[in-house]
Amino acid sequence: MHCPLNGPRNISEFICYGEFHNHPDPDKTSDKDWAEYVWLANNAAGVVREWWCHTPTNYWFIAERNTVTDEILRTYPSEDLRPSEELRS
Amino acid sequence: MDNPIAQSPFAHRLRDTRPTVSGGVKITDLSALPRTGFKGRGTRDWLASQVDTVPDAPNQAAFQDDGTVIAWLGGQEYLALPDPEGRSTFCANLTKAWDTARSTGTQGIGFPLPREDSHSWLWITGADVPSMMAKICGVDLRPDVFAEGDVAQTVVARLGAILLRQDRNGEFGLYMLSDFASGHYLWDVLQDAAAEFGGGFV
Repeated sequence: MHCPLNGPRNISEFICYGEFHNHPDPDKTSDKDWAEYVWLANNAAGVVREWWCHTPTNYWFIAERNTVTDEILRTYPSEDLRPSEELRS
Repeated sequence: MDNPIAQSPFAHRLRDTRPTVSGGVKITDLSALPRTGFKGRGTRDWLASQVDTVPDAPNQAAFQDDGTVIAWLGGQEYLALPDPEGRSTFCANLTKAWDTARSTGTQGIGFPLPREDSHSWLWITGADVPSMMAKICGVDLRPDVFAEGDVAQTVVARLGAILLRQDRNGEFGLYMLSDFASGHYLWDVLQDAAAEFGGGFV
């Protein structure tokens, strides 16, 4: 896997922290939507955006992964992800 | 200090009976020397005001004229190492300068990140070091790929480690900083890995 900070590394140096979701404004969102944000995952079959961490450096970044083929397509710093890009059903 | 293991996690192993090191890979324990770091917003600007040169990119080290090193680990996190002979007071000077700046109310200069109690420090030198490390580390450390001053933060023998290329008298060399509390384990792993090359702790 290619770490945006450290370059190519063994997959054993990384941990996946699950789907990326936009953080809803807690003051403006309903309890139902907040609960969905906290507890529910899409588990989509196909290309998803996920939080990953390179554990030796504790560096968090975004990876685009195909959950069907388990292929990692792209990795980049979270700053490069615009909220409107979120894939969410 | 009464107990030498408080200064180096390898101190109690140096009494071990072990083969004579014939070359290839020499492992020198530098854990008794100071080492520190700084982290947080403003660290880069403050450090640049304290030392001659700071690295241009993350995972790079900048060698100062007296053999001391500043390594940029990423974001606003830096590692400071003295010269391997321990002549300089580099780390103590930086810590004192930070304390002084802080006590005068200066804000935005990051915070100290001491490494003496968290990381052991080895200097692994010799022509066979890249071959030996290939057995226990996934990063390509061959001399033409991993240049002097390059830094790799990775896993070595299942331990998180910071590797920094620092040659010794023209011979390939790596500083390796790894978990202090795992010294006993690391000693056995490195002795085993180096045996093939007639190397080991010196």
